Amino acid sequence: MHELAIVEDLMNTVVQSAQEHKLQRVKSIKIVVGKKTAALPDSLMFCFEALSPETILAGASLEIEETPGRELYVEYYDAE
Amino acid sequence: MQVNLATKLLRANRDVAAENRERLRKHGIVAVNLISSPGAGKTTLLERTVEALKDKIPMAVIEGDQYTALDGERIERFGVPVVQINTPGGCHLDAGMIATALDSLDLENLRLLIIENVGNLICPAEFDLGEGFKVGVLSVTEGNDKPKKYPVIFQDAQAAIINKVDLLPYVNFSLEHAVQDLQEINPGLKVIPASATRQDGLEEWFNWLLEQM
Ligand SMILES: Nc1nc2c(ncn2[C@@H]2O[C@H](COP(=O)(O)OP(=O)(O)OP(=O)(O)O)[C@@H](O)[C@H]2O)c(=O)[nH]1
Ligand SMILES: [Mg+2]
Repeated sequence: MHELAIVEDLMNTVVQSAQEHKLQRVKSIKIVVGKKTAALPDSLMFCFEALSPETILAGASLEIEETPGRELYVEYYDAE
Repeated sequence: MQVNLATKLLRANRDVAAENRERLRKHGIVAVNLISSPGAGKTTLLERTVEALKDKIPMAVIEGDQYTALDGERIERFGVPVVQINTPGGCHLDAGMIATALDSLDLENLRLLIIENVGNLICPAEFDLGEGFKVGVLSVTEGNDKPKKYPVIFQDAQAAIINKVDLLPYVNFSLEHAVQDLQEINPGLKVIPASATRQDGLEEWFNWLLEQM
């Protein structure tokens, strides 16, 4: 549930940070998603693939680590 | 270059929820977030609760509903302040909506705030409103498997009301199993079997609520 809102927030967070660091292209992103957030990895992936083209995140790979709790955060991203 | 962030997502809601919580705490207001599937009996339970407690403690109600003001009107009849929030198409209340609703309430003179969330057992469980605690309502017509199928709300709640026990003779619902499942999901959960229409179990609910004040 609410994967779209999560992915939008994720993209804004990474784009803003990349701009601050004057990075042009994001290659990969790692996020941590707790099972209790009820956010489905497949659905997050789908939203990311739908929204990322035509942004500096285009073509970036999204790695999702699943944990048992309520975690929901961007761990790091790799960009150049 | 790798940039480490550890930035929480959907933080906007959490930040506003934390502000609401602080605001309520400063005013000494206990806020309850009432959550159930559509029609489990939240508003009926609220009608009985407002009726019984409004002269004992200054209270107000925030009503969440997708489209109508029907529930707000039902509560208004009892002469307590009500704020109706509509969430057209939206399946839950969020902390921002509650912040706006708090602006229109006289917080100085309130002790108890009950928030009826949009009828939905899933989404509201995920959005912190800044409440003191959540209460889940489950009705016996929904079937025995619901606590296990929708555990998040019951894991989080402080109390669960099993409503419509007057219908037990007509439905294949085992109260015993439901209580067992709920307590397995959340060992600290206060479980109160009740009938909001026949008024069973309501004293226990009122007393428990007053104890939380
Ligand atoms: N038999 C029986 N019916 C009840 C009980 N409590 C509520 N109802 C009926 O159930 C229906 C729904 O009750 P509401 O109080 O409107 O339920 P709600 O959870 O507020 O519904 P939404 O706000 O639409 O999600 C109404 O027809 C109530 O009269 C109960 O304890 N026993
Ligand atoms: Mg209602």
